[in-house]
Amino acid sequence: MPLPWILSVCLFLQVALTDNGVRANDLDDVLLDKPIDLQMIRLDSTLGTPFDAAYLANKWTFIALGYTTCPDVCPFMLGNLAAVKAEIAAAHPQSSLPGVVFISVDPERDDLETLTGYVRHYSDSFVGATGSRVAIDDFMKTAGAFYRLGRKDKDGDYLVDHSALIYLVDPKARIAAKFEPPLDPKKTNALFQEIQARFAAQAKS
Amino acid sequence: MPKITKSLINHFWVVLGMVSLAMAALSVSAGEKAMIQNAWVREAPPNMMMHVAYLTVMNPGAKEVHLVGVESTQYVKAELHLSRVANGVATMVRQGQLTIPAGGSLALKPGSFHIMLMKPMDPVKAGDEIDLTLRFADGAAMSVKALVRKGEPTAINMHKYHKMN
Repeated sequence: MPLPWILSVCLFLQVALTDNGVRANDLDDVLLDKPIDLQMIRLDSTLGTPFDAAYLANKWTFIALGYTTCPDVCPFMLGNLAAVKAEIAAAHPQSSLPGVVFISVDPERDDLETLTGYVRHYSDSFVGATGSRVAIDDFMKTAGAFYRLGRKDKDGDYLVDHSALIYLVDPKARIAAKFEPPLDPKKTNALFQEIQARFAAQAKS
Repeated sequence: MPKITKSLINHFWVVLGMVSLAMAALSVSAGEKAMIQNAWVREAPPNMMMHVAYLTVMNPGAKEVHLVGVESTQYVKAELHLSRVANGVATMVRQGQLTIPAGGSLALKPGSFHIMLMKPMDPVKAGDEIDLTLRFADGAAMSVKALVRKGEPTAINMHKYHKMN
């Protein structure tokens, strides 16, 4: 077997075998080739204002999807985002912080009042949003996200499958990046700073 | 009466005790051998009807152990579930039983196996204790106290949850 082949195989094996399963979440993994425009979004927020493109404009926002009766994944993601935001705040005390919005895909059980109590449990600054089934479906389709309501059991309870990605929306109300939980707070802050810098550079050009 | 018989009769209870111990050691009452560690309940937002409990089941025995159910007097019902995140989509599947391998352990943790606690009878807040009864396939039941606390700071425990499944 020729030497280059052997070396290639060795390199491949070394890389493959040292992959310890940690999600890379490097810039290339999270940054979208083409940002997704959210001009069409028409939901209601727990602040009493519409959750639309005007809300998203001129700021950065992390968006998570789920429902409040989700016992495991959603609480984890929101706790995770609270840690991410705390890390960003600690690292950049002079900068304005990104917002965090939790969109419920289960308006039948999650009205705005329920959502308000839910998101504030994780941070006073968190915002909830939901809306009509049609408006939610529009958002999901645009974002490339997925959800499915489960069958009701005899008590009327049901589970909901839903995308567990976290979206970063830029000041032009476009999804700029998608993160897979769990998010490492320090790494996410580093990526967030890079993404902001790229956005600023593109705005100038 | 032969001396040995007399001796055995005199020490009847000792002999019985030793035989019982031997039987217990060899018994397949695997559920009783299991041990539970680090049982905790995540404090949920007020008025939330779905809570979650996590714990680790250790099985030092020589046979597999099967956890088939869980109950709590403090909740209307409790179920075993598995969270999965595949292709970015989170799903939860109810589990009929959880298998703990011989000489091994199974961790119920965020993003993985967990106990879904439904409809608390009273408000539950950090610092409270939740009584859980774990039922095993061989009929054994174990009582565990789970401490209610706020979710772990993810910055510190990231290494535990590298994969959400």
